[in-house]
Amino acid sequence: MRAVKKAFATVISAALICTAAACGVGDPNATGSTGGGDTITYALSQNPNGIFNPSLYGTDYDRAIIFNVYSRLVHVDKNQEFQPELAESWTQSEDGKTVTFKLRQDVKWHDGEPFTADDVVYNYTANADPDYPSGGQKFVSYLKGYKDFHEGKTKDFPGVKALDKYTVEFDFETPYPAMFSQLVDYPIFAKHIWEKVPIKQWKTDVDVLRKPVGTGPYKFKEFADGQYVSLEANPDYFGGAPKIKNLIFKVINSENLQAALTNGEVNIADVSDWNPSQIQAYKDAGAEIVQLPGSGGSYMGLDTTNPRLKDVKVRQALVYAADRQSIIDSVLYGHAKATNAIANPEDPNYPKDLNEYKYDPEKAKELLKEAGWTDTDGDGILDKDGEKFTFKIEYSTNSKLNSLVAPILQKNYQAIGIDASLASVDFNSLLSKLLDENQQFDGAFMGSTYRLLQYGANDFWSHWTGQGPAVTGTDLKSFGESASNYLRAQNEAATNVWLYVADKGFVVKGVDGFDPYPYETFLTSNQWTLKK
Amino acid sequence: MFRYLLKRLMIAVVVLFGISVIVFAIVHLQPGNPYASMLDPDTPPDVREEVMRKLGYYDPLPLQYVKWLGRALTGDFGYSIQLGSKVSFLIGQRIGNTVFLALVAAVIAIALAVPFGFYAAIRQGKVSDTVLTVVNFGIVSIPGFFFAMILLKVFSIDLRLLPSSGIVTAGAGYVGGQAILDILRHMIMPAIVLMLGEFVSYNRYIRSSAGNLLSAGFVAPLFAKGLNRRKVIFSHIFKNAAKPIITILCLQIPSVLSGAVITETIFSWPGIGLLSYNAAISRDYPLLMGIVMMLALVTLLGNLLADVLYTIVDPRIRLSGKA
Repeated sequence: MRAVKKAFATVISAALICTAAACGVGDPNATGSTGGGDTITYALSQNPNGIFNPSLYGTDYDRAIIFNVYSRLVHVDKNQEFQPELAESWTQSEDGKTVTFKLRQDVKWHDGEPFTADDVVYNYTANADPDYPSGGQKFVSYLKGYKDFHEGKTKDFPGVKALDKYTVEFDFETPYPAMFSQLVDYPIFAKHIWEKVPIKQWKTDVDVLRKPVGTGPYKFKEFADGQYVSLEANPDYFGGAPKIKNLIFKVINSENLQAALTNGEVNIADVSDWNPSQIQAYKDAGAEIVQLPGSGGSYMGLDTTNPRLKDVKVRQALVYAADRQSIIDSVLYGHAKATNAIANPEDPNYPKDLNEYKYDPEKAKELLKEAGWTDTDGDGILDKDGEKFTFKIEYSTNSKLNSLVAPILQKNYQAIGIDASLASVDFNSLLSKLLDENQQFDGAFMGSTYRLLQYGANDFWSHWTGQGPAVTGTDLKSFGESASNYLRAQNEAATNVWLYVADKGFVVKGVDGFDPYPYETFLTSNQWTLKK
Repeated sequence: MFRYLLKRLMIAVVVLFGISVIVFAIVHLQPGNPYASMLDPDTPPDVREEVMRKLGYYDPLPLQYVKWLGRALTGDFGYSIQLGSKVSFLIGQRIGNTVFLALVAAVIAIALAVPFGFYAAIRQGKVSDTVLTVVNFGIVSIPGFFFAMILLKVFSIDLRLLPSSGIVTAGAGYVGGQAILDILRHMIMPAIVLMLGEFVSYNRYIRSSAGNLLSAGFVAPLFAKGLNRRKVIFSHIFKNAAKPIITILCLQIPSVLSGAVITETIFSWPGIGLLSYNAAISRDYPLLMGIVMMLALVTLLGNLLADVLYTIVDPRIRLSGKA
């Protein structure tokens, strides 16, 4: 008996001693992982894949690391105009087929090697290479000689060349002004590092992938897979050395965020849930909320080849019948903007004269009547030629928001006599169904980031590719006008029920100088400081 | 004994093979194409088809299986679709963390279960036993994640005693003794959450096995011999009741490894649980197959080990001619 009691006592006291010892030793702020005044910690809700090649990355989490370690030729400012970064200046020919960049001459890679035009040429030649392990940046396929080079018929790629040590020239088959938005999205990687690895293996060579060498404000220090990526300041950064020595990206589950904030383990994080009680919890933990218009939207794609939806009046009716403002108010607590085309309402090319499709169920019913749908047998459901109007709303379970929005739409449609049902599947299954051109659907929730100058990529989901006017131009101005026309056509054709563009929010504790705007979260990371 | 082992080993190999076939079939027969999200949506369909052909997507299922098996036998489980790197690399990186956590959880579970179990056995039928039984049921009824949340609230938010996630303090670069203590502090909460289920089963097991032994036929003669209560319990019953716990431990291995998923997610503990969850969600076939086969192997070995240990520990089985 006493032996049992003894054993018990030993276990308990051992546990207590361990805990006490663990607390006593260590840094003065007992739990804080922010090690003092020289570290800022940014929370990532998921682990980065570790693909730290700026041309091959696929997730926002890798992107966060990449945009601090690498630099781009150009970036965007708050007016969505392109500003120089690695490129000092650029000129375009009259016909838009030649774009020439003059590069900065004072930039060094983190390992000391100089940055030159050869690096830029190498980047885009690799993108066109037949062995390149991914799709490649879109504008590259518009350059001269792309087809032959990409199919392996020629050994040279004339589309991009270095005129001298700091000048790069791009020659296009057909002008593609949207190239600038791709330059903003994909930083430049180093020739002398990546030419050592066969292009075929670029996505699998973990050694090089996980030790990125760039020209950006922070140098890569360590990647503890599943836990954090730690970066340290680059004193020779051409934009001015960072004020804070260490920048750590820590993987913190969004459920844990509040605990981490209270504990002082994190300084900045994304807001994913605008629920007022959650926001209040963050504020109670000592953080402030930074809100800005977002660049990603959600919409329900309509299958335009579906016989029931072929008539544009029917599709327009579906948009009129959706109470989109109420969705924004109840699901996103008002933190979103309505949109009426697949583009960001802040986009300079977003036409101001689009049909707003203000919520009007009566007008929806009228349009449906004109298309031949009425309730002939009095059962509350519209029918035509003996067929009932059924509508299946499909969405993926990946997004919590989708599962809140879908039932609202269902109710909206049932109110005007459409027999709407819900179907939820996992994302991969939904994607496969949409990719299969032989499969029909009614409405499917999709979402994407609306990138600058990228229009029409999402038409695929509505089986509407190529139905709208083509977006082309020899320079940004003509390209922009053509884009506006395209958006007007899409708006008129009601190929989607555009739901919202959600605001982006950040929780910030103890940091000054954090100044994000759409498309650029980390642009000023070298100017962030810690509050005293 | 040896023949027994050999027979068990052969059965294990056959079972492993069978598992690989079944899991391969299930994973590949699901609707949806895992490579769908790999390419841009506006990739022209002929390019898309070419890429998929290269990846072997259009091969008939048995052919795909045979190709996979051939490489798997050499230890090459292919490359993860989502993450790009070798499956064996990804698993190797993470499994250590899960095993470490599982081991610590097991140790804590046993260390607490033995004294409590014994106490309950000795006090069988009395109030203290009932109290302990209720506590046990209470623990088992609380979902792991809920308990994790409670721990987080108390220790991370209110008391600010323990860090809320990760294995080490990010970027601090501790070494030696400090590093060990750092890991310990990060590990305590997830280990406690993980060990709850185990604790209860070991506890009940010890209680019933010790309880049985206490009322067994050989106990009365021991008292008659003149041994005092403490010697009877400690020297005779304790040893006999506690030994088989090792075998139970081996049988618990698979459930601990899979139960770690939720714990690892909440505490951002970089182990195999989180990896397998993400692989399942994104239909990452190669990674999924690699993880499943590894878990199957560990389970089978655990079972085998349990059987072997049991024959060693309990001479009655060994000598009854099972060998």
